[in-house]
Amino acid sequence: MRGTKTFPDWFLKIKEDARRFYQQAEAPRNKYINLNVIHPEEFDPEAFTQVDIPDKITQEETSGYAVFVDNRLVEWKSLSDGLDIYPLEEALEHPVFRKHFSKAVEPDRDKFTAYHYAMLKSGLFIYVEPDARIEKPFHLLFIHASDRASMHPHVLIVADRFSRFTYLEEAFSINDEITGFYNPVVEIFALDESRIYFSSIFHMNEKVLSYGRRRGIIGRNALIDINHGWLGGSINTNHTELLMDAPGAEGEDTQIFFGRDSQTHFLTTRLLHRVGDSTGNVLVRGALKDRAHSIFDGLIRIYHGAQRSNAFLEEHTILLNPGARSDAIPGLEIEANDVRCTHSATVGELEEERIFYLQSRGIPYEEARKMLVMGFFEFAIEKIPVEQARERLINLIEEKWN
Amino acid sequence: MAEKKDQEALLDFDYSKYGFRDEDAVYDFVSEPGLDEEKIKLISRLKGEPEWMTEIRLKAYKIFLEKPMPTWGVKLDDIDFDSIVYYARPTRKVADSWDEVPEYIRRTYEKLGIPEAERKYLGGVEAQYDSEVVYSRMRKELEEQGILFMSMDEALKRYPDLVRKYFGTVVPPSDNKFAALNTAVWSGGTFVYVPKGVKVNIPLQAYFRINLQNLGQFERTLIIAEEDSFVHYIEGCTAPIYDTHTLHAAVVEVIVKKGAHVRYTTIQNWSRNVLNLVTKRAIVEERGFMEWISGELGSGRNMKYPSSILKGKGARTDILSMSFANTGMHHDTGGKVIIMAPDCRATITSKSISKGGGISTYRGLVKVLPDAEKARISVSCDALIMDEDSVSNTYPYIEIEADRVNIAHEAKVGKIGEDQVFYLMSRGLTEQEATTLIVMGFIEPLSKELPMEYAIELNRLIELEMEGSVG
Repeated sequence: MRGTKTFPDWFLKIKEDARRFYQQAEAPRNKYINLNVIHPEEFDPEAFTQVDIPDKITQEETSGYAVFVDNRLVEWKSLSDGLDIYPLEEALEHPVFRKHFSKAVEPDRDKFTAYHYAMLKSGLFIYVEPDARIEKPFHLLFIHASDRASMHPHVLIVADRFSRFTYLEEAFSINDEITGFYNPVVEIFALDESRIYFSSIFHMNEKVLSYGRRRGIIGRNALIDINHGWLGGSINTNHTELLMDAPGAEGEDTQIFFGRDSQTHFLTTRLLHRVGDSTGNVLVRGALKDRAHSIFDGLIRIYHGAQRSNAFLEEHTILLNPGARSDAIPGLEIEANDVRCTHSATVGELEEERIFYLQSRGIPYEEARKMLVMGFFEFAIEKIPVEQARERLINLIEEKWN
Repeated sequence: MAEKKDQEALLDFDYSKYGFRDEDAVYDFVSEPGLDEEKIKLISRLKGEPEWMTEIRLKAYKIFLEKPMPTWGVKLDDIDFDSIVYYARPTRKVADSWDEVPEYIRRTYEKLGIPEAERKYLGGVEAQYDSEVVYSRMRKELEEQGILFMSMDEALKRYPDLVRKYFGTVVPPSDNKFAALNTAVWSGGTFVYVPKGVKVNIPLQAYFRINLQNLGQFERTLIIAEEDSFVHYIEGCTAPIYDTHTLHAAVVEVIVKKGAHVRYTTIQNWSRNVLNLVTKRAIVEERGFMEWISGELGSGRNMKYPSSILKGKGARTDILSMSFANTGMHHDTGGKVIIMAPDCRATITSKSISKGGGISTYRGLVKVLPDAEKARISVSCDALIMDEDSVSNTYPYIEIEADRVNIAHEAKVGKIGEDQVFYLMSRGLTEQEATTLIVMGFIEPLSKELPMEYAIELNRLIELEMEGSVG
């Protein structure tokens, strides 16, 4: 195994402080859920099972790839000029890494984020050089292979000035029996005039507990476009935050979730307009079957003085049967007046007439429902900039429906 | 012609006079500041209450002591419960003619224009001065229809069984700390009972006035609308300006029976030293309809979330609120709808304006329980921010546990369109006039729901609040 050398002191100090914070902090909770049901210590960060790396990742049209298995980074490779990939051990010596590490997602944000830092030992640093244009996606896999695995991958992306970067990650389990705790942190920095297209699909099995944080910091005239497909996990918790840090910053956040059986998706999203003349958009679409439960907490915050901010948030959920439950808090905190901020949230059912129409055309009831739900998702899926991700997500939702 | 004159008279009314105080007020009884069981027993004894009510008060007091302060909403941690005067009785008698009301109190209400309004367009008026109702009268024809309209204290004496049956059933003392406090020390408030099938076509009004410094006003209102009845109840509130805080913690309980319709309108214009922490809730039975309409213009710190529990099939509710948070004010208001039965409908419309550093927050809850099939709910919140120092927050909670439901929520925050102001100025309006006119248009959904006289009053108050907004 590579990376047996000891970590530098500054890094160990961050880990130690995080451990202390973890020990004294309460589990995150709100009115709808208390995450004190997650006991991370029950999982094993050393658990590891050798798996074959799927061929497709090395064969697909990519700009590079990396693979985590359980809690280890096992493969990484850049196939493009201007795209530099480092495993954590090497990254620690990189000045750009050091400057940005733990600055977007601070270790003391909450108990389980602190746990991530305390347990962190494998990660990936992606540096996109100035002016580099990485059009083909960089492909990252998180493979959950061991029972009771405790996984804490850290990904830090820095896109330097005027660069362009496309990223696609997929997290899955090798079978439906193994349990695990998936606890990733992704930090994304879009420096001035850069553009980052970030897509992620999470479909680990329905025994996995997941708690992740992803935060993007967006510079002058830069863009971060985040797309999430949430299908997996028993309790799947994620926080996405986009911080508009300079004029002209643009944040896009599109999320799709699908829940069945007794799955819970607890999704938090924040558009933080620290500086004015910036734009933010959130679009969330979800469908729930059986006894699935979704909690959506979305906030637009315009800081004092961030004039001419423009922000929009919409969340739509479909409940497919009695027993499913949806809770939503689409909030606004506005401290500037020359702004345009709008949010909307709806919860509804599939329209009977539409199902009836499809049935009259010879489509069976269940198939008609599926078609309507796929149509409902399409608006959000279309926004995903990577074609592979769009196709993969559609296939996975259809698979999961059956 | 006469009507036009009345309008002009209302428009000419000098609203800065709301802030006056009665220096020569004489009280029949004022309790020492602070609260304990003995004081509660004393209030109950002075009122000559039945023992069961004293028991309810004492039980609620225990709950009040146990309940923590809310940690959200407006700043509450500086409330000094020991410095509050919990009971001040200006007179022992509830008059049914203004001539019998003590001179200094009558003067107050005349300044506020109440007796005049009563003559013109109200079906009944009740006036509460500090802790007690001093005047209560209803038109004879309404009385003959079996409508009851009186102070809660009087209702407790005359109709103890009715009061006992419903008191605390909509807002139990355990609901929150201030509901518990109200139950322990309540005094005054209105009791309205509308018999089956009776429709009260002219509004009944209560007018609440706080005069004494450091007084806490804890009125308790109970409205019972029997099957297929209708009533419109209006309340108005004012107080003089003091430099210490005055606590207003009311509880309002409304029971809307099968097919009944209750409209509850509030024009709240407390002075800024008043902390307004009220719990208002209605239980709505089958096909019943509850309307909450409020204009929140005053009070430095305001927490108010009128609620409707739709309990019967096909029940409906509309919650319409307008809040204006000017300099030094923090309004945390909204609405709550809990749907328990099928085929219910609810609409929440909130309009807020923040100006001069004011903070206005919408906080709402829509909860649909598993059996509440085919609920249709729409929530919309619009906020105007007049300048860069003011703040607007929106926290709508949506909890859906039923599948055949349609709920839509939307919120918009922004400023007044410069092109609109420019257009109006090009037609000869000053910037101030143009801005005020646009604000009036913004709150029109509320003002058009008010009786004409109140709409004029509301517009006049908005004009006053808008003064100096352009500089």
